[in-house]
Amino acid sequence: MNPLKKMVTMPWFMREHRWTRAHLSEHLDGELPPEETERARRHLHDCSSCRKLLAALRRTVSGLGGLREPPPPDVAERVVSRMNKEP
Amino acid sequence: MTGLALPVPGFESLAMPGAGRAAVSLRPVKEDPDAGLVKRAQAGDEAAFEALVRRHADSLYSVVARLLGRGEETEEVVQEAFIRAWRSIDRFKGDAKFFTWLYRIGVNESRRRAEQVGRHRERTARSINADSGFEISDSSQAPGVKAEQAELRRALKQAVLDLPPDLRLPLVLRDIEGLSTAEAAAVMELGEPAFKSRLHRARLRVRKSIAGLTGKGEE
Repeated sequence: MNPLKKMVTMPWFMREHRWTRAHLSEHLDGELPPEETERARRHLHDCSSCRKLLAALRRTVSGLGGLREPPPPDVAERVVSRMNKEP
Repeated sequence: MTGLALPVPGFESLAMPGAGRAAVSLRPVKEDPDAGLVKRAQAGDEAAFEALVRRHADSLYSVVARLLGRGEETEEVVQEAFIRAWRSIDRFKGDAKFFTWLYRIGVNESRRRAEQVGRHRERTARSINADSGFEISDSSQAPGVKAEQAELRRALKQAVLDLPPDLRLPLVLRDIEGLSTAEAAAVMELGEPAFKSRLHRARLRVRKSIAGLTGKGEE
């Protein structure tokens, strides 16, 4: 059997697989504590599926960061103007 | 602030502090850059509050626009949020940063408006929003690349709009508007683990929606 396929059938591998997938965003954001970061890294080293998902999440988050659009001009001034008209 | 609590279907965590919802302890606010202006505003200094408006109006507009779409309604909600904040400023206790308190008011008002106008109009706003404002900022790129980026941007925007509110807001606050996890969780009055869980689910959904545009072989 292919070594990778063999690994996937192992309970410990699947346990780490599920855990890593559930924590990929935290890993991406650098918000896992050091020991859990290491845990994620170990699994990512062995699991191409999780590496692909991590890469896809990285691209997604990067794209989302580019969605910010400037608001129309003078929003604040119109708020102040409205407040001054309020009783 | 109890008087500002508004029902937010699908968004239970957005009740204002003291509104009888499950309590979520916020981190103590060590340094709020708005603290000085807030204190003056609480003493009745209108100029100080106007300075807060000028500091936060654009950001609040951006968040509300992601919930309602850009337009008059979003501007009305932003104005209403500041008016409510001004009227309630003496009840702001500083257990969160001022802007997280302000964002809560804005988000609650957004949801209330969305409920008022009904789902049909919300869908219309979503559609209009997704079809507009996709300019590519880098004019040096080849037309083919620009077109691909425009398509990706459009798909991303639609994917965000298609998220249910309880997943959309974490993504908007954290990934689009750039708040820290702690700040965004505070706006939603969620503990950080719960916030992170929603953010991760939201990212996975968006990733799935755009999978065909961002690469081959993705899970």
